[in-house]
Amino acid sequence: MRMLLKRSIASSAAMLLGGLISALLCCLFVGFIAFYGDDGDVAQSDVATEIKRSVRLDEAGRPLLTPTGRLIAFQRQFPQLWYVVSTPRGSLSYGAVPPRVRGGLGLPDASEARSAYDASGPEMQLLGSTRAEDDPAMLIALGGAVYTSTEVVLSLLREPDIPSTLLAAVMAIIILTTILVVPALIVRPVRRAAAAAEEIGAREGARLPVDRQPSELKPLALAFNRALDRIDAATAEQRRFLSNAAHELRTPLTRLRTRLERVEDREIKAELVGELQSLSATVTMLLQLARLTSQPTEMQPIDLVSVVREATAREVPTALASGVDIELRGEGPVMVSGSAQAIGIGLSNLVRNAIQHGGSGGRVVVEVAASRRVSVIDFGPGIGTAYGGRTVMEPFARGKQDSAGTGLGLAIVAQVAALHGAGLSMEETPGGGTTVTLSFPQ
Amino acid sequence: MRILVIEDDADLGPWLRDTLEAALGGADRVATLDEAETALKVRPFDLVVMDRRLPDGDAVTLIAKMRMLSPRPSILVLTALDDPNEIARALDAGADDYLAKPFEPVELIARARAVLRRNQLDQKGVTSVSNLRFDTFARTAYVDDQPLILPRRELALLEALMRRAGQVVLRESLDNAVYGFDDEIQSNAIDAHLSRLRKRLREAGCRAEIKALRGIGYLMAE
Repeated sequence: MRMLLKRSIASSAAMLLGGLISALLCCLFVGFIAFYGDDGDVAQSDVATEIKRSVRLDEAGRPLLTPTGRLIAFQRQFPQLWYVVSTPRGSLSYGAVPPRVRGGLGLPDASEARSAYDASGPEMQLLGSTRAEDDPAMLIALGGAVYTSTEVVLSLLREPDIPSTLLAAVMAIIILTTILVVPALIVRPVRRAAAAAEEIGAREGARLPVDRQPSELKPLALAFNRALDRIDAATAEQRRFLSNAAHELRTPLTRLRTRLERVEDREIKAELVGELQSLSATVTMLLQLARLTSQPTEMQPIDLVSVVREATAREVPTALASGVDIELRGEGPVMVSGSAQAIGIGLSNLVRNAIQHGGSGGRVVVEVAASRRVSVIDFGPGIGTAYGGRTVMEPFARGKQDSAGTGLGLAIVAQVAALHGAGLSMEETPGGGTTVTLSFPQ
Repeated sequence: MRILVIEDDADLGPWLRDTLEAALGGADRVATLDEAETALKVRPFDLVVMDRRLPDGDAVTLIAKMRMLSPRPSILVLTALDDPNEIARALDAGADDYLAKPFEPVELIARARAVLRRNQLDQKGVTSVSNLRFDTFARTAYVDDQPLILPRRELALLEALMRRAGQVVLRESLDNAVYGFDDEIQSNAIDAHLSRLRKRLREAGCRAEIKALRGIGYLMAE
């Protein structure tokens, strides 16, 4: 049961209902068999019908019997069976006809069906019945046939009549509808709540409507909303922490930078400024990474070409200062679902990395393919085989220990890729250099 | 040239004042929003270089107030908050540009010059790079104060580049600047206009240079 419920409430409810209805029907059936006995009229009515089918009249008007297969089966089934078929011209009989009948039970007068019971004993017993068939000139008297309970049911099933067929059909429809509709009705508010929860997505401040929930779901919706409250509070706290951290880290760095201006020795000053710059870059990227990992990103349809062009344009002054030619290839629009801000940050880091590590090649190419792939290609020394693969994409991993840079850039790009379900790969540029490719899902 | 530095940090404040004064001339420094408002009432400033977080509050409100002043000072915000939303808030309030801390002194001076240039463009209609000057009101370019006669489309190109001197102007915004709604844009026409414009500037002795960045756009550089 627990396993069933895990699968689906609706299907377990349907199975439960189906099981209960089947059990109920079984009980009714067994009860019917156990309590509905035949005192003879059901069996004898069947036999009489069969006798009628077996009898025809000869030219003189006397009954002639050609027993049908079923009548023979009845005769075998009921050893006590007897019957008399009489017409004004003659009669025929089978079995041990009781003397009273043979002596005349007023048969010729009988114009309608009737039964004769032996009331002398403690239990009434059907002695025999007289049946006026459609031909009032022919009378059938019979006795000694009694169905067992099972046989009564079998007999009913064998010759279904229109009212019982209709009744069965209506019952079947009611049962099927119950099994299909009731579980769906039970599950509907659950599904509605799930859809509302899905719609909330990454939106901050959105909550599940509690008033419209049925009472069983209200605690769930309330608990869900409380969890969202906690998440929103944590996000706000994180944001506050990040901006405080940014302030607390950057202010002393700035102060330090101004003090470095007072250093007289040019060589020492240049060295210290370089160290401070790389420390500042680390702080910037750590904050970017923290922001990307901690805050929900809103996805929208965006044109990759224009997002990449703007990000690349931002890095142009750095490229020009380093004497690097920068070029963008690709015709827009190439639409993807994503965050322009996050992709912009990732691209800026890739381009800056390419300028820094591959700038010696004098050229950086950014390429946007219609297949939603963005490649940043440099023609520098390359990352080297020892650091190929994933390691360079983890925080603080560097291609070469002596190279400038913090090793955070690619971790940021990897985070941006993960946010978008995009692939990130790094390979050797043909002819030397590094190509980093972001492949957005189709 | 009068510059107001609003910075509470005891090291950074005086350093900013001295650095800006040495590069651009005449700077005062205050440490709180309150002092800044008083200073702004006393005299007009051409440039305000300010911190976002001050002891008596967030400086965004002051930015909005300064926008109402006439003449309006150019505003460069120094921020230790690099949250893109915070930066957008400062720019929306009316700041001309922002610079994330920590920064290099040369970058500070370059940004200060750029916002001054843009403000001058807004108020006087004039912007200049090296010995090239562009008057947007008269729609005339000057090299060493000698007017330069340019065809209509080349003039429009030069204006678009001069308005955003030192920054990359994206290809499509150049298309928009040069061609009107009804004009049929021919591919490569911009490149042809640009190469003629470059030649004319070179012949006139202009030291500013139009850099082409393939696939990205163009940049007017010193």
